[in-house]
Amino acid sequence: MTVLQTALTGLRAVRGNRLRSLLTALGILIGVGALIITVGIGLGTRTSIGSRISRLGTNLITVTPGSVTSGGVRTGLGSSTTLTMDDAAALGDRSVAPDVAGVAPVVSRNNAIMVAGPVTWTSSVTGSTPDWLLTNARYVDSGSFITNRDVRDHAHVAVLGPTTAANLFPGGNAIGSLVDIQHVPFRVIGILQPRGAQGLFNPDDLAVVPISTAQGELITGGSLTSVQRILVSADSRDAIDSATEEVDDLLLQTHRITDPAQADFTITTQASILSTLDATSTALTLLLAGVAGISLLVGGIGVMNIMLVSVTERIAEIGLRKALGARRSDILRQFLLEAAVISAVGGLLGVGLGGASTFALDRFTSLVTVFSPPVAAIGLMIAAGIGLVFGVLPALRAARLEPIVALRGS
Amino acid sequence: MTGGEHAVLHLEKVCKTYGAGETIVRALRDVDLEVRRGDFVAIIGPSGSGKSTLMNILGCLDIPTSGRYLFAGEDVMRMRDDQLAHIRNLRIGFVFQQFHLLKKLTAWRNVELPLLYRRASRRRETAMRALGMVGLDHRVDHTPNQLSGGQQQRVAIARALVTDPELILADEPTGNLDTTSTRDILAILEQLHKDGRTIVLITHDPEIASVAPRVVRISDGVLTEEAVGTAIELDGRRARAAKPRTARAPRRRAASPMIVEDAASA
Ligand SMILES: Nc1ncnc2c1ncn2[C@@H]1O[C@H](COP(=O)(O)OP(=O)(O)OP(=O)(O)O)[C@@H](O)[C@H]1O
Ligand SMILES: [Mg+2]
Repeated sequence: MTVLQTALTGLRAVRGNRLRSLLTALGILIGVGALIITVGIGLGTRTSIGSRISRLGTNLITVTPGSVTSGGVRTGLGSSTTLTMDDAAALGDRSVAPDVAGVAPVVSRNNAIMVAGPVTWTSSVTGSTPDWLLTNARYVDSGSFITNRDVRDHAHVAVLGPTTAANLFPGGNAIGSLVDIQHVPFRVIGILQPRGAQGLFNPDDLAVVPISTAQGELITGGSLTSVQRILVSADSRDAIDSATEEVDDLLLQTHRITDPAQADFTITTQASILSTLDATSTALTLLLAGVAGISLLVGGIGVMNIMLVSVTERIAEIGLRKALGARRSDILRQFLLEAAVISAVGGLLGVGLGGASTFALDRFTSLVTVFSPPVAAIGLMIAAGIGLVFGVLPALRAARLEPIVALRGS
Repeated sequence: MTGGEHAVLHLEKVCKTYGAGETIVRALRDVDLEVRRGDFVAIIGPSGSGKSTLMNILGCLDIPTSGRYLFAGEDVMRMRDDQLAHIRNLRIGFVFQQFHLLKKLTAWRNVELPLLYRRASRRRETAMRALGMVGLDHRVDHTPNQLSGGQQQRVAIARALVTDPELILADEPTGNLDTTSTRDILAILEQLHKDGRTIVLITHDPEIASVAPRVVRISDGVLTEEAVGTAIELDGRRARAAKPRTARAPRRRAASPMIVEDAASA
């Protein structure tokens, strides 16, 4: 028999036993569906991370206290106070760091209680300097941003994110109004342009105040000089590496550290965040694909199981085919292809299920998912391959049946 | 070769035993048999006498325990599995008591089966012609459960004929049929014989065996030749059967119909 004829025989057998074939294929169906959904989520996460980071501005360099070195993870990463206002001031010196366009020291706290008249709202509050706008690639929508003078004067002025403003001032009269942040009164002087929610973190829900005011009155336990991180903006995308180097050299120098491995700060660029997130999402994708793989394995065992039953049931058919001149290889191929066809049909349904779920997830949940045709094709091939692999044992059993024994089997 | 040119089947001291030791069953004992081209041989014997065992060996479905078996001059006992499959496909047509049709396939698909294993082309056409020979042109698209027992057996005979084999082996082909259908089937077999086919018919019923010019009796695995009818009649039949033998080769290639259209209703 030719492969085509054998495949047709297989298809006919599958059609003739629709319910059982479907149940057999269920494991494969779920496996391939899961594969497509999980890879879809993985790819979606990756693309959304990519677009998020390009929106953030790729020129951003972030300096955080503490370090992750070959010596191990230092405790209190990000909470130790090795970065100071002086560091920020030094980085702002164009003659020392020519590739640095802007420097914004930052302190912040989450869950700050804000009260405006009858409205109470909980949000995060950030203390920084005018360069916060530049380094974050943000813009003011109305009003103005905090100035160097506000920082120097410990002014009680605040710039609100659009979400915060809308919640605190439903009437829209935010600018010029008073808001109590952690019981400290601030006057609203500006509202930021919206950036759009990004997963769990909403960059439009915050208040920005002068860093000096925040250090003195909002951040409990902090000092007036230490900062939680320093945002540095490189002159251009191409200047990121040299700017990073300048920041590193300067901070090592001011911190009097000779061995860079002992640095008490960590420099992160968008590129490095991107690659970290990329690696994380790759790991996640692989993990999820592994789960899908296990269900495919279970599905394959199901196929083997049913094929063994099928061989036992069709002993008379096998005997007859042998009596009519089928060789072992013909029978082997027939059952192999039948298993492959069942699995491929399951795979096809799985692609349908996975595709539909991918679109549904993308549309009806906050997850970003991507349907990838190559992955669907691979899923199909894997399904058929599993049918072939797990069909071997039943097919061999069928092929080895002696014709007389098989004929008597009826 | 001992078998001679014209012997399709040649068995010499063929033994078949099942099991070993205490439970050994000697199903065939020193069986000698020669079937020539164009012969119509009935093998008759009671239940358990070894008829099916012999049929399996003749049909290359099983191998003798000892002895010598030549199929058309070739030593079957030396053949590999695939060669046996090849012989079964090309040179033998089987008709079984239980029909052994595939339930899910239509009549013509069932008849087509042997052709699939020899990579033949124009399979539908060939299958249709074979169904025509058994008078079933009007039932080609019916599945076995839409056919009567007699019709099913005719489909099975068409399947045995479709490859134009040298030997037709029928094991109790009428065992599951009523008298009318039995007559139909026997008429078809007789017609095939008249057309020069070699037929081995296995039965336990002497009446059925009587359609064959030559009858061989088997009991407890031992074969004895037995003449049916007068010697003259037998010779007459043999002479008739011998005629197409010479004209055989070109006819086989042409694969023209061997049976009159209404053979089944005869
Ligand atoms: N696979 C086997 N294992 C052991 N003994 C067997 C086997 N097949 C057949 N026999 C024995 O061999 C003997 C001949 O069996 P066989 O089937 O050839 O008889 P039969 O003439 O076809 O009988 P029936 O008319 O009932 O079909 C019987 O005694 C049977 O029990
Ligand atoms: Mg029998």
